[in-house]
Amino acid sequence: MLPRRTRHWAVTLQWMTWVTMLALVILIPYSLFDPAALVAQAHDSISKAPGDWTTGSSAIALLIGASLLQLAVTLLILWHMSRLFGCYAKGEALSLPAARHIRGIGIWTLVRALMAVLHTPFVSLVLSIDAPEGQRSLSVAIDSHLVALSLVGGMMLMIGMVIAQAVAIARENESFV
Amino acid sequence: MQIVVRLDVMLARRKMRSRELAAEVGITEQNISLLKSGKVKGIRFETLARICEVLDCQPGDLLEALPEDAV
Repeated sequence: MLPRRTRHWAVTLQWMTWVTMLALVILIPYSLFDPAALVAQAHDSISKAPGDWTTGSSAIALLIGASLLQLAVTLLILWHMSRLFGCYAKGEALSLPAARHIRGIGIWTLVRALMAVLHTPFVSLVLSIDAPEGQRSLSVAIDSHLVALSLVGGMMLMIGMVIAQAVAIARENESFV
Repeated sequence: MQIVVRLDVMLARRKMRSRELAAEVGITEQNISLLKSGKVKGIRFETLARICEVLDCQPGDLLEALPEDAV
């Protein structure tokens, strides 16, 4: 059983995670209602001026779809976090559900990092797809933030797997007298 | 083959109760009960040695290997 103070912290963090999820669900779709801002942000993300390419409605729909997909993955990470804090709030430190949620955080963080890597080529392709031949573009960008995010995801995945092993060992030891 | 625990027989021979054995070995009465009923995956050498010491017997007096169909 975890100490009371740790469990209190877990409850606080679980609430913070829920609030963050709620804020994301409300704010991000709201920002998607402004296609001009979305297109400007997309141009900005690939270091292009908004007037460089004309953006059709299908391109805007694809950009909205990509943003919603990123939101969904972020929400999945936060959901696993809230469930993990829930486990800790109940005092379950070394349990299979906790290990599963840590693994979930790791897997979805890796997916989120991969999506961030693919974001730049996708945005450049979507924005320039209607441009005349010779002016279409495919950009690729990797920054240290993405590498760090991938490493954090990989580390969480490993910790989850190791905790699952530790739980299995602890259970085996419990059945020995 | 299956390992059958004969602790109850040894306890009867020594006229000792599970509670006394548990206290002398230093494990819970519940674990002694689980051991007697064979509902454990294994026994630590340390526990086995202490039980043998208390009951003045050999591990072979407590454990018996029997074919599956003989149980």
